[in-house]
Amino acid sequence: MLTDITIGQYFPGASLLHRLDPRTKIILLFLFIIDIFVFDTPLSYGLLSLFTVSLIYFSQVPMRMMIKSIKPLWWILLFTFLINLCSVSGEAFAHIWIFALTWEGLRQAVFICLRLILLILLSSLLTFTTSPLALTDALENLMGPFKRLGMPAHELAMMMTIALRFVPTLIEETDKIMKAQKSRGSDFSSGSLLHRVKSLIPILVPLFISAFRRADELAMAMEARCYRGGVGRTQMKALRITTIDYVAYGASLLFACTLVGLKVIGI
Amino acid sequence: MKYTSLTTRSLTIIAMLGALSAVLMLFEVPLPFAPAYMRVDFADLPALFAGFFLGPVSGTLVIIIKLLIKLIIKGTETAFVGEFMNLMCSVAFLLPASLIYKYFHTKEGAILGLCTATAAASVFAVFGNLYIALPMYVSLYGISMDLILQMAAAVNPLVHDMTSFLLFCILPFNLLKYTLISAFTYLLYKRTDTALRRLLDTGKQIETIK
Repeated sequence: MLTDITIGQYFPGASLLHRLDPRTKIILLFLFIIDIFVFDTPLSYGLLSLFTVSLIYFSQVPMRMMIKSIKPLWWILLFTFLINLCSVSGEAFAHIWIFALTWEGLRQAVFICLRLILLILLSSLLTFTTSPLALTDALENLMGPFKRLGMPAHELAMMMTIALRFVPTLIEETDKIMKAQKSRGSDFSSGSLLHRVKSLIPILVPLFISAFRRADELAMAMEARCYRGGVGRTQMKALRITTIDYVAYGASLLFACTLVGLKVIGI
Repeated sequence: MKYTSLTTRSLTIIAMLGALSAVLMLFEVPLPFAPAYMRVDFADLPALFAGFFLGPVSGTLVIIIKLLIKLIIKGTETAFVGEFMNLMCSVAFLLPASLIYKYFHTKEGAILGLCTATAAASVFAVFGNLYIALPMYVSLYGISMDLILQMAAAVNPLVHDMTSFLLFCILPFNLLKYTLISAFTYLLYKRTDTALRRLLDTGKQIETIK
């Protein structure tokens, strides 16, 4: 039940997108999300879709993996599509039972679904081409300026790294504890809601204790290796902005300007 | 605010509880009287635990770590709206509880804190849904508010309009959710606290309860 969860969706590779600095990718992702919400004409959406598809091509991530990332939202998409199709008033082109299907409804349905798909594809592109550790490093770096305001950027990144490392371990441990309890005759999946909720306590207690024990051992190991916080700490793989990052920023800004231009002209 | 660094041990504890919180997020229990998208999960439990054990700031960090891990593992389905609401509600729950417990470091203080927090977070969830989450979902998915109300009315006959939706659907859901989490935290804290203090042999680095 819990064993089929993979941590992160990183797809190793050496494509253009893989080689971009993770900070660049995060910043540009936000730029594109803003683009998607601000420019809502058919032409801009066509351009944005074209852009996304070409990014997927450049990333060398197989198309079936991208489609897999939309899969969990398949029902929401279908539902949103149907609701919009049937509920928007306008000139009807077909009648099914009591619903009138309108051109305006069809237009809006396609529109909303395209928007959701673009949002998902772009954010999955980030996680497909960037390892969780690179993302954490980038977050630490991007939060750097807020350190003065009391934001514990380094500590947060260190905790993220530790947490990411231990999520699979804790999942495995939960599974083990559940099996141990089951083999002693406890039952988690039947009975009333109260019963099911109550049966979680014998799982949670050992889980918390073991999480604390691991934390204690890890702290000991870190201090034995002279960990003393983020000041003066260096990285083995330091983040570096290279030419492709400048090219990416330039291209994205140009793209955004084109969209602004189209909006001004009113197409 | 002064930049203070955490001790290594509280850092690893917060990280581990953040990971645990992300794991617990995967166990979800649907409730009978609310629409299917509202589910109870126990991800707030480790955060509250950290809030009691280490203090309010640590609890907030656990919540932030949980959400960042969620974003990295699952991505966002709601363009950060869901995550934002989750953050606000969790903090609204955590802060009253851990602050009251910090100043009334007794059993009564813990119970008082948990009750206040349950009420505060439920009320906050109602207003958050009314002014932030629902309008944003409406514009994101293009579904009208009436339709959300109709869906809710289909599972819960008491729902007629916005006010009754908030009062009979969102409020009881959150009250139940946070009452459950409070009860769990109380039971769990009572059972693990002594063992943990012995395990960690604390007193100096970590502030624990009497």
